[in-house]
Amino acid sequence: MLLTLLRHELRRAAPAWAVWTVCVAGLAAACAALWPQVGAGSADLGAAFAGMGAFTAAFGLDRLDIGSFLGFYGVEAGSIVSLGGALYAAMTAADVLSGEERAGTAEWLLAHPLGRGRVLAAKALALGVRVLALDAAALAACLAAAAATVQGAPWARLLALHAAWALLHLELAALCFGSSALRAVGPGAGLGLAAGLYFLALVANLAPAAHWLRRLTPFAWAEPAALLTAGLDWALALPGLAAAALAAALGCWHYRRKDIL
Amino acid sequence: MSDAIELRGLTKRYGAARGVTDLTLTVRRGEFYGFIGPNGAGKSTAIRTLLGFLRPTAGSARVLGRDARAEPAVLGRIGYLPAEVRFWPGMRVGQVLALSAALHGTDCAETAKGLCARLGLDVRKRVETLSLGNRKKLGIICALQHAPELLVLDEPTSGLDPLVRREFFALLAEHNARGATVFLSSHDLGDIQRCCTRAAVLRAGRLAAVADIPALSAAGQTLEEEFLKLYREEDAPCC
Repeated sequence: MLLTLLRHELRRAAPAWAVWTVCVAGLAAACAALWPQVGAGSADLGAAFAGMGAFTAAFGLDRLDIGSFLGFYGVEAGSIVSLGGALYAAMTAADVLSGEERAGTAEWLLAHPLGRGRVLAAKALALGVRVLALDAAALAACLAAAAATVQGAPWARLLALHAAWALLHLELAALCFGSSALRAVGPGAGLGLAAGLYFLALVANLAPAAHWLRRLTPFAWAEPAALLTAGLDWALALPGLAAAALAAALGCWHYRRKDIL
Repeated sequence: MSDAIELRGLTKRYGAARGVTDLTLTVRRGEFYGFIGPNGAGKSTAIRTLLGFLRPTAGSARVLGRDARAEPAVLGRIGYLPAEVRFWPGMRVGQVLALSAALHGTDCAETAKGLCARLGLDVRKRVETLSLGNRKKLGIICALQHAPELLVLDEPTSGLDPLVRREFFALLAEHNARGATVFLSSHDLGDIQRCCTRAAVLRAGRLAAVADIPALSAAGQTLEEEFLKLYREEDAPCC
């Protein structure tokens, strides 16, 4: 029964997943494939990015070698894959439980001998599969494009970059999944949260006085400049990951007890 | 053997709003039981608490001897039709029926096919294109196809045309004859009087009366008269 529900969840979400995946993975591949042309003028590119004033710091361009494939890919694909995947993960996760209630399908589903625990498990599993499958597709597209166009591409570092972004997406998905136990939460709230956290990371980079904001947003530890210069900062990442896991657990606890109206 | 439905002092409030208050009633196995009351009387609240969608504020609700919230496996022995039945857009009728059967852990494709033929429902149609009546038919087939021991039907006939209604009640009679218990919530008192052996009347969230339908019919009375009498008593000026 768990597998039946899992299959149903995946099939139902497949059209939206396919659109987001084609866009995110396609753009990631395009970023990697563009490098040979862009790299030829890398000195001009570096100068252009260095002269963007506050935006140079906001996007971490002052810490990246934009004249290298990895620096260029990190900046370009960083905003596409990390933000695009985050928007998808947050939007879909925020609708997982509340969407069924609002649409009136929760009652029909829970009239079957599943129990709320199985419903939660199937929905969480399906969400995780969708998020990770999108990230896997983006990584595969990037690697394929890099293999075709870049001599001696840094495979391990590309893998680490995409793995960190996948972790970011799982964190947002868990946070929004927990929130979706509240009937009022919907896809708009998820999108708003993901966009808000993204811009919080940009603001945190703008001035030393706002640096503490980095502790509030997973985009701070998932930004390409941080990942490519110092690797994943677990001290910065773990509190947010723990908070997301707690939000998911609290959401499950609430959903098991709540009235399905 | 436990009763099919057992409500003991069941109370459900939504904050300050009333749902049902101190409701006690028993439905025996094999009964064809009616559940009536005006809009907002608390019929759907009682049913939804019974099936575990709502937490009781006080009292208990047991179905086939179990608490459906604590032991959801009991729902596999129940066929439920909600008052407002909704499905996921994009699915076809056949897919919904197959999903429901799989979630019940059975394969009842042949039964579903027969039920679709009897109620006149095309399995190839997409659910978002179905009229209210056809959505109801799909809900009815989902509730019946796995041959449950207990049928809990909340306003099943709204939106059904007279021919389909007749076929629907014939189906219910067949299930009841095979030993299934039928718990039917309806505003149509004629249907209740024709099919049921007993009927509980709900008024303002409380049990107002339990009518013995054969006795009522033998006395030449109708359920509608009794129902109106109950409500006139309520409306009469006090003292």
